[in-house]
Amino acid sequence: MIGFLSQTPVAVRSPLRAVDPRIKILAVAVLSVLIFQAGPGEILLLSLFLALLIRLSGAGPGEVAGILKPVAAFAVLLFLLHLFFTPGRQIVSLPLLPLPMTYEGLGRGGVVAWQFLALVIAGGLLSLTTPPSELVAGLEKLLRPLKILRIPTQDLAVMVTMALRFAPTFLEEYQRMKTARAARGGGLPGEKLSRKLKTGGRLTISLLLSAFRRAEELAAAMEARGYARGPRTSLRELRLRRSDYAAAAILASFTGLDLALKYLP
Amino acid sequence: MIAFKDVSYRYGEKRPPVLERLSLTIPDGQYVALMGPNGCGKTTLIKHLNALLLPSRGEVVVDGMDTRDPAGHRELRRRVGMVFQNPDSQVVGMSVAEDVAFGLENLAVPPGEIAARVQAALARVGLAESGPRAPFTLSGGEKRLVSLAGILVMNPRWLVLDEPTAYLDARGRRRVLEMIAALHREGMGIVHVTHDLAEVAGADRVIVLDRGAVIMDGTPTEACAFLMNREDLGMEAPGMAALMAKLRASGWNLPVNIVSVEAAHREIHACLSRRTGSGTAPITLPPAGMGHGRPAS
Repeated sequence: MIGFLSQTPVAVRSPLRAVDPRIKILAVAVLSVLIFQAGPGEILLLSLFLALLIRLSGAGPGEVAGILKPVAAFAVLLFLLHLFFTPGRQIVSLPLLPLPMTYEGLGRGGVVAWQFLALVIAGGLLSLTTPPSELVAGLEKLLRPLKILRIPTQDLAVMVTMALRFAPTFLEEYQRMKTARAARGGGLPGEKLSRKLKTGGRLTISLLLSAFRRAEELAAAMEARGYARGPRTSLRELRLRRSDYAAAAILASFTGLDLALKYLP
Repeated sequence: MIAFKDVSYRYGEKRPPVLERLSLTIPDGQYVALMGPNGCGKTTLIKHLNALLLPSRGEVVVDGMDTRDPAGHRELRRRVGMVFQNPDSQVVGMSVAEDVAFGLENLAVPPGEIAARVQAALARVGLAESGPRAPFTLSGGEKRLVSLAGILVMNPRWLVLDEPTAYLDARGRRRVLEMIAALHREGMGIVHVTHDLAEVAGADRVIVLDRGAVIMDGTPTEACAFLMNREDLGMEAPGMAALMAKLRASGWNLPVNIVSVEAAHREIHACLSRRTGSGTAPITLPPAGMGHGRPAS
């Protein structure tokens, strides 16, 4: 989280880093739909495309493992749940395990676990190749048509920026509170669960109060620098270049190919 | 010029007033230090300068603009730049450059111009290379300088600083104070809230507030004399003044209202020259551990 917010994408000079954030956000959205709809036939095609994107992102095996590590256990759980709870032809009967493993469960579990990991990789590549500020700028531009419906897209973008900006600050504050608690003898090994819960609740309330105080100070500071409803410009004006159109064309072609594979006889 | 005309302010109908019929005028380009005990109304006063608060009674006029007129707020906020006490709650951008650009974005300045002005402002505070850094990777002093750059980039006529050296180490403090002094030399009007008279020794004027009213308005030297006689305010005169008082109590012919190290050095040097010239007995230093010296009455 902190790494992502440090504004320094892992792949500084990769081709994917140079692509406009709007194209990348759209690509993740399109890929998510394709991944969810993928049958066994499209899995290979999508896996190859994701491998190509990893290559273009400049991310090494370490970075990819870093994306997958936090969710690996959940992917395994998803696989096992499908393996044991999908009715069908039994693969093997284990004497100590009353639940049957089925061929259908094996297939379904494999697909679901792949879908989950593929989604995480697609999202991870976006954050690896795009600084958060560009991500917010891209999101704001994409949402801009909603202005017609009087949805304050600029305000939404500022809200997302603030949330991302202050996440590390609150993390630091939480650590400080925990340290202060430890310095007064709290959180020692062997502490009862009820006491842990009670202290956790107190820490949360303190953190919330601090967040409200900060929000008030922040609002004053923003107002003092002229923040108000009305026309604004941006330091980062996004402009689509030829390479961005090329990236969009590749995405459209791939989507067409995937859909053709799925729906054409 | 900034003018407070009979200004009162209360944070709620039933709450006591924080500012009470306060009137004062600050001419263009003046460096004013604002002092007073906690809760005396310093922060409330400065929030009136760019219309973050509007007076419950009376009026505040900045460069001819009445702060109660909402149509002028955008221009007012460009003219009066405010650096808050806690930079952690002021830095709003995801990167240093974006934070500095925030004010210009609000003023709808064209993007190309924003980039150039941001770079110039960062160079001005000595952080030219820090544009892409995330704010949470900055030190306390750097965050303060980023806050300052975020204000300077808007080309303000007035700079309002609420305890700008709070939480800073000696180096950070020196850097910020030097920057303020340089801006004042260039003609910018400064309103500097502080508890430490020594750090505003170079100010043109010191205003001491208590319970929402001005109780002293004079030079730093006059403020020093005032604070030495008003322990009840819970404020301290600078350490230099206490040292001079001790020396004076031991027979040195020295003034006591000394705010800065430079002035103390000058006075002690002059005193020693006088003594050497007149052939008087060697000077004895006061014994260590003696309590705080006060001017002999």
